[in-house]
Amino acid sequence: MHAIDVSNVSKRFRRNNTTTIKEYIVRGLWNRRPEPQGPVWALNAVNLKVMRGAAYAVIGQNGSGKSTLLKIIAGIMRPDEGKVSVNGKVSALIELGAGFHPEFTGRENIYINGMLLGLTKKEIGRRIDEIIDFAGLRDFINEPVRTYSSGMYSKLGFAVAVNVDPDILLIDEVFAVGDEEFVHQCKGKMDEFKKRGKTILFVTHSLPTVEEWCDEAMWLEYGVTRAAGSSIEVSDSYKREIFALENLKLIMESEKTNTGLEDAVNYGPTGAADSGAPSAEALAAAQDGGGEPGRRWGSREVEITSVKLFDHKGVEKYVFSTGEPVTILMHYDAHKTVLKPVFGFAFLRSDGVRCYGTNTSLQDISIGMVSGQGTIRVVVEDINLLGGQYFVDAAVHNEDGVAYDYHNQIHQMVIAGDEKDVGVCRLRHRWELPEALQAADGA
Amino acid sequence: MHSIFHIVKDFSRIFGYGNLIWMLVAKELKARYRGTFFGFLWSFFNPLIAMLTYVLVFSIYMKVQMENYSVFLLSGMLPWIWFSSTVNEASNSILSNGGIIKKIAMPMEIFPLVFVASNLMNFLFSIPILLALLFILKVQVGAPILLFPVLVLIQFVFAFGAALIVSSVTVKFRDFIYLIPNIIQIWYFLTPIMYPQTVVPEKYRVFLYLNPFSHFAVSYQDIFLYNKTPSFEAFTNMITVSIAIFMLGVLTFSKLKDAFPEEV
Repeated sequence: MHAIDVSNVSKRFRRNNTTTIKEYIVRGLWNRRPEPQGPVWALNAVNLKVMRGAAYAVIGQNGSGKSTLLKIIAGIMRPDEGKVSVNGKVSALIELGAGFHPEFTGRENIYINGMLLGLTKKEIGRRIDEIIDFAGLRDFINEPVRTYSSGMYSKLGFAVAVNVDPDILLIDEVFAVGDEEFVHQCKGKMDEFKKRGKTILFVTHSLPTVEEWCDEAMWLEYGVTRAAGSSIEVSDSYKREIFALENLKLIMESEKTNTGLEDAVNYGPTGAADSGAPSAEALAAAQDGGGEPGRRWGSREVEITSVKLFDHKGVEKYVFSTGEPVTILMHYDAHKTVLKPVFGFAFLRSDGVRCYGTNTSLQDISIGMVSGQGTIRVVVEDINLLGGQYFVDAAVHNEDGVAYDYHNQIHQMVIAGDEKDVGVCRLRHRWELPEALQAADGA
Repeated sequence: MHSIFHIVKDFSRIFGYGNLIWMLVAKELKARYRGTFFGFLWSFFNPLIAMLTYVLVFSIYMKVQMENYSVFLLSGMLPWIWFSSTVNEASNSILSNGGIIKKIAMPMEIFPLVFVASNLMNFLFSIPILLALLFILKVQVGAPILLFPVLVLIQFVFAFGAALIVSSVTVKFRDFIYLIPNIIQIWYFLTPIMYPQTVVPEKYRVFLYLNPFSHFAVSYQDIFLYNKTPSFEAFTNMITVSIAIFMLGVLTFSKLKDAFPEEV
């Protein structure tokens, strides 16, 4: 038996939200309004079936129609076309504490909110202690809710909503608020719900939540179902698309950055890079002295004219997975013959943390001279950085570390890692556990 | 799509929310005078001050000769305050509860209804002043006063219908927020509340007849001041108009309400 059955549901965007009398008269009293050019669908022929006891996720970017779908299932909105049937008592957590009246006490608001959600006075009376304890607000329950912090407000809202004891719980991104402990508490309650065979429908941006919590998922895009099925598969294809889009954006951005390098503001050299300190310190200076992102400095006798990234097949790309090989191509243009140049590169995390950096001199590679244009190629066998946004720094300087051209936090890269390990990079490792422990784990 | 059966079934959902309505009415009444020194005594003072002003202007300055003018005034004015406050407050009731309407599925008719009921409570609270005045002025009161609950019931249906109309139409046409107080003001002067219907020239009487509230005002004056049962004609008129307005209200509201979650 399906708990939720949405068939062929469409919902049109209403554009002219409000009308003044003048507009109405101008359009011709009682005449039909002209249709907007081409129908704009918030939802277009969406089908969704959720089995009783399942946890289902609806994912998609902002404006994909996922919240509209949730509101239609909750009975708040009506579809323009199609049918929705829901078997069981529904509680929708769209905004925690919607309808709280600031002047009234927590206790009074529990009653009002509970009744808005469909509970009777008696039912609330029976559950009120449980609600107050779950929210952890026993000391403040007789204070007006305007004195509550936003965290307390959400807790009370959540406590009331879950105590409606619905058969079907609809959740729209409500865990984004509240402290760590509250989120933990909510998840505990969700676990309990699942165990008791209740149906849960999530609308979320958080893919880990989808993978961890949901059996099935649907991906909405501009009101149309892009994919539906097992949550892992849907979340994977959604992720691939997000990263493909990100990659496209970065390719375009890289193009812009590289062609715009000439116009890039030429900041004066800072710190050690100018004072002729050893090259290792020059590299460090980028972080310590020239910490502002997007800087370029140097005398420009040798210029780095572009920095591009490629995968092992030679396809230009800027979104990599942890462990993938990355090739960096640096094009240079030496305006005069320069002896013994040193080329270097570094990876910086978006918060400025230097993850790795090196140069030819540090690795005892000596380059005799450069003159005219050329390309330096660096192959990183496996980029073991964890998921996140990064910058690729590129530099050419003289033996003493005086920069000819230094690109600091200009070129972007994304690592699409979905590993749950923490830190900067993944160190190759393996676990060697005693047999006994392994057996215990499996039990 | 909107069969009568569905509309009635949908509307009848509000009966399941009786406790909530009472709670919201209590909230409304408490919120109204919260933080004021005299609190709910203001429901006495407001009509009393208005009455004293009229007595000063009409009985003293203009020397209008009318026996027990103060009783006459109050018996028409108190039900008028119930009706006019309801319409004024209900006109904004859907818009101001937008936060709830967008997020919780519930019968939205509750919001205008709360204002009908909270103003009814205010009306009932203010009746003791009228009774005290009747006692002080030794006005003879008899059996017709027992019709008071009947009048209240009919007016309740009338006010609820009007509240449903204004609350839903305002969402679509925001101009009504400003239009309604003006209509109410004009309506007040055209209703025989501060003057007896007999002062209206014969050829304009038809306006009194067409004005549904004039039948209410005259009926209340009959039972409180003149110890007289309102005419059969007045009752038929009030009942017919109230039921018609109520049905129009239910229909208008149900036709417009699907758009509320998007338009508020």
